[in-house]
Amino acid sequence: MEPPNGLPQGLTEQQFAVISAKVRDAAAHLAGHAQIHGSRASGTATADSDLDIAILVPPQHFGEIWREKFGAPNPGSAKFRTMQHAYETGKIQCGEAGLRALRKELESDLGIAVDISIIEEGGPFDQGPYLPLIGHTTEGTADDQQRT
Amino acid sequence: MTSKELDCRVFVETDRPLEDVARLLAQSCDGHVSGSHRSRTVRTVLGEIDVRLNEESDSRRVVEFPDGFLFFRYALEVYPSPAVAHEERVAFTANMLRALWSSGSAAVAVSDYEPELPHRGGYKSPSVPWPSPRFASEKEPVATNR
Repeated sequence: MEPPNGLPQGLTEQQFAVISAKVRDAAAHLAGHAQIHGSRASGTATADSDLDIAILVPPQHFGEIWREKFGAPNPGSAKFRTMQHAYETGKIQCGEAGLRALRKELESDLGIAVDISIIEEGGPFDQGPYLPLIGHTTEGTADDQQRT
Repeated sequence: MTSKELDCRVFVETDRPLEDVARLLAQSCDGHVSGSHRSRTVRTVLGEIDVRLNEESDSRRVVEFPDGFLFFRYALEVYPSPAVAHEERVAFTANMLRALWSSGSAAVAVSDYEPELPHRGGYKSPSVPWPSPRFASEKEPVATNR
């Protein structure tokens, strides 16, 4: 089930266009495909629901980002366990992903909580339904399409 | 201005509402609170703490020792100001942990400086509060000293 208008539930087309552009700009360095998922993509959101944004990346690229973001924590530490958990679940959370500034900006724009994660394609958290950002298809950005 | 880099994440399990957790932290570090009902930011002279619901919170798994912290109810993110020295960052987080533990909350710090924190940040420590096993009812876990 998806929102009938193709927009994240509760967002206007203008809001979606604005946040789509901001996410594309701020997350371009991650070279992933940003999508809306969760309850606002499935049409099951309540007023309290956050807006979930997944930046989907292929497994090999996920591994590269994972190593870069977590570094080399001491084995046996909580950070090491958190790093393992991120690998097991195929999900790097917003803080570790370095996307806090984007999250705060989107929350300020929309007045709702926003969560942004880097998700490994095919991993446990790669679960639709998804809504692609405006100007962003599941095969890449509109610019990507024009280049090919 | 704060660092863009996450300095420390602190997972917290408590039955207190998010607003209360933020207020407790603000009191412990002389900060003030802003934000919406699903997330708060505590601003201090040393930096900012984002107080948020943990997206992976799982009330059935929080009792698992020692790795149940990954499923605690709240996830705090600490972003210090760029000029703050390492020792001050450690003291800041240590102060935050003590305030949480003193309130009876379970809290585990995730950072590169865990060994410098009291109880090494709480991970695997038998001396800090931990959620008690859940009863057959749907009652939320309550943090207790083990």
